[in-house]
Amino acid sequence: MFKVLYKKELLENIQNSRFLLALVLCVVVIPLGFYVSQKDYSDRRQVYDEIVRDYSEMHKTVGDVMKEGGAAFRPPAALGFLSGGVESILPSSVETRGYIMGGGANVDFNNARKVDNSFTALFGRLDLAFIVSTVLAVLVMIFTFNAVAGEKERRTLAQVMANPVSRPVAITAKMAAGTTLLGAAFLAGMLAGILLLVVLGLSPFGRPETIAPLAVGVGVSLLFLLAFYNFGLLVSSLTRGSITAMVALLSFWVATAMILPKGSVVAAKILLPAKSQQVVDLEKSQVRYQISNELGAAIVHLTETTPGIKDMSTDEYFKARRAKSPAVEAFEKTQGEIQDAFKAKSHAALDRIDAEFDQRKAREAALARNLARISPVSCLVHVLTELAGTGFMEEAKWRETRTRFRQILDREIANKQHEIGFKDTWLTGFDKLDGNAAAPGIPPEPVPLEQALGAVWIDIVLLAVYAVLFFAGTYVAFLRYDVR
Amino acid sequence: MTWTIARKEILSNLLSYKFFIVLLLIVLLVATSLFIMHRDYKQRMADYQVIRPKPGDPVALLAPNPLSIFAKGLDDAMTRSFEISTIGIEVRVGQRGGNIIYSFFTAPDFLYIVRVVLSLVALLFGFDQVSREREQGTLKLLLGSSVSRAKVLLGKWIGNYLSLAVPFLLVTLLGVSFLFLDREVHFSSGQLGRLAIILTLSLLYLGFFLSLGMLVSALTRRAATSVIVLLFIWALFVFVIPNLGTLAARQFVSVPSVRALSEKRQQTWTREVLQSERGGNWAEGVKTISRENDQMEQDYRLKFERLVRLSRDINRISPAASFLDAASEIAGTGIGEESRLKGEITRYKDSVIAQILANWNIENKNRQYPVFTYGPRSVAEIFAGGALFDTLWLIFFNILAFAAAYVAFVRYDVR
Repeated sequence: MFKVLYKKELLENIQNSRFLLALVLCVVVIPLGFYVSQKDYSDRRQVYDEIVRDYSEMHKTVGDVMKEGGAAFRPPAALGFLSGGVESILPSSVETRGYIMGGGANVDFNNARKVDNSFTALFGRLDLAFIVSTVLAVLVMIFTFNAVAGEKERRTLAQVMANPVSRPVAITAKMAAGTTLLGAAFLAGMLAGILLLVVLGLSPFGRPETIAPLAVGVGVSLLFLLAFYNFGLLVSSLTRGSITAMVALLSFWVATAMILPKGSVVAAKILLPAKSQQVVDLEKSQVRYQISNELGAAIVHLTETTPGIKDMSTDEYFKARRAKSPAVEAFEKTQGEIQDAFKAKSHAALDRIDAEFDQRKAREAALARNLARISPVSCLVHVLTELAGTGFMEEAKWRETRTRFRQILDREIANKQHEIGFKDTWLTGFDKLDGNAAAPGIPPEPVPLEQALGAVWIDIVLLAVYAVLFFAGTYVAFLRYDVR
Repeated sequence: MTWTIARKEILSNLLSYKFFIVLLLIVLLVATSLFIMHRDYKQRMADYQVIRPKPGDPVALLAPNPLSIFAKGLDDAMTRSFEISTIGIEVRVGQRGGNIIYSFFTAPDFLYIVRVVLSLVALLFGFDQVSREREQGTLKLLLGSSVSRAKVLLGKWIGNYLSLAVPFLLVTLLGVSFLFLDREVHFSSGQLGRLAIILTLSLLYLGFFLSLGMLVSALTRRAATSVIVLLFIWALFVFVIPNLGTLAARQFVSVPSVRALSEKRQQTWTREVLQSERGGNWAEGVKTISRENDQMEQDYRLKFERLVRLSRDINRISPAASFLDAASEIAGTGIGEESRLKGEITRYKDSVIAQILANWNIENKNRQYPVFTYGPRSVAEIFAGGALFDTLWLIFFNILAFAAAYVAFVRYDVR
């Protein structure tokens, strides 16, 4: 009986042109979204390759990094068509600011991309996360709003139920047939999108690391569509009129796609407020200024209290220095120790501010993410964004890269410079460094799939739970449904 | 008779569940949007206070636009900090939220809600006006009396439009009046006038979708079919065409990338530095760098403006794009306003560089620079720059959809 009902539902959906609509929409919108995203990626990748090439040519040795400054570049996300996420605000590189002196390298983020595309900023992105959570979610509403209530209105449900068919079988057949057609339309759209990219030479699938995330992304999108479909059936089984079902579904979509995701962020900000980046930057520059003043005062105090040095004129000091006077050497050693102490103090204070800020931001973000998980749309977006490498993990990885890059530059350049002695500044002590050693750098490493899945498994499980829960609700509602 | 039918439609809407759910939806959406965008504005305003330049600093920085609460548009790009030096204009990030999560989901501003959700709601009001009445057999009864089809259609349109527009306007005005309670958000009378224009454009936009719903309803025999067709058209108008238009325009007009521009700037800079090191006059070098960069910027802007014009013209096939363009320009957060701001910043840079050259021997920290001031375009200028066309275009879409609905309804077989 299941097979008969399944076939009936399939034919009905095909005959009333829903499947055709779904197919046309998927085959038009998904390839269009892929093309727009990949064209953008291809342009940015070209720029990235040029920048990296120029940088490698100009930064072959440690000496080059000292003269020109160092950088580590983030390649654009090859799977950005899955979800653009927060890529536009992620750093395009970590770069040194100013010369790398004995005090350590000052490394910070750079975002060269900024708001390059006004149209995207105005009209929004057409990535897979948006297509599935907005366009296909509305399509699911069209598939389901009158699946039960509409049949009741047309009185066909009473006729079906008059046959020896159990209600669980009837509703399961409806769900299976609807999701089969929807899934087929979605997969056809995905296939058309991938083929288009391959034909136009924009395919990112030449890299083996892109296949598995894409497959997982497709699976999770199907899971989302199943959950949404089951919710549509639930609403249709709870209402007596198809228009009421449609309006209720529209409300649910608005709540899950627009209100909950952004509202959860606002709620988190109210419950666990974190300072803004501007305020933190200001605090850090105040700390730097204060410590630099203290260091200046300490050096002045040392100069004025060191016997043999305090009475020297500048000319006498440099003469004694060139003559390698033990007094000057002892003075400079103490001076170096003071500088080291202040450098450590400055790093500790700045790191403390950064750590506190990062911790607060992380708590705020975690709360926002957890609240947003009430919405299946948020779960889908979280998963696709992490798979695409345009989300939180990528941001965290680049914060870590900044720290690592600073440590590498300190180890390879700043600390060695200091070993030469304070008298040898970067201008004079250049050749005493191993200036011909290879330039230190950090090659880009994508977040591995296992790690991305480790961060979003809860979202995938939740989507599965929503799908099961909504179907269980539909099952119960349909059992109690008055078909007359 | 038209008014009697309109009243009947209003009463039948008031008695339906649909109306109450839609009302609840509008209240929830407008309230949430204004709440979220209001907080976003205040956050950006607080950041602006922190990074605000001191008088005499060569920095061009705009305060966030209060109308960005309704139409965010390109306000984030426009409120970045543009720092001027002999190198040229350096762009800093400007106002930025403390947490990456704020950028994770699109900000649901008022325009987004009207463009995406309320257009769908308007379709819901119109999709079954003819086909459902035929299915229920009430259309036959209605047309059996002496009333003309034109009056029936007009009555239905007025009744449904008022059922949608009145709650929408009331809820929006209530939301706006709540914003007035916050003294930190100040709207000038000009900005309130602009808000009124945005609301008028929203009403025109919703009117089109209602007419479209009625048109498709008059072309189909069943309400379920009309929903399916309407969803397809909605997705085309709201999502597909605005993206296709921009894509198509890029095939015809090529605009150099920001990277290419930056490379050219770098080349000019390096050339002038080398010349100065070989004994050239650095002040002259600065002048040359500024002049060549301006020329490059102007070439870029001309090409970009051509791209914008062509994209807009193609996108105008969709009323959603016309509405978004016109409303964001009126709010002062559109592409035209951003482009004009960039031009003003270039002029400001020229005046700063002229000042640097005039006071070449004064130490940098003792130099005083003119303060950057920017007045957004007047409403008349915005209308002349394209918003009038978009408004007339929306009116034309309304008339066209209603006229087509009338023709389809006249030919409709009510049996």
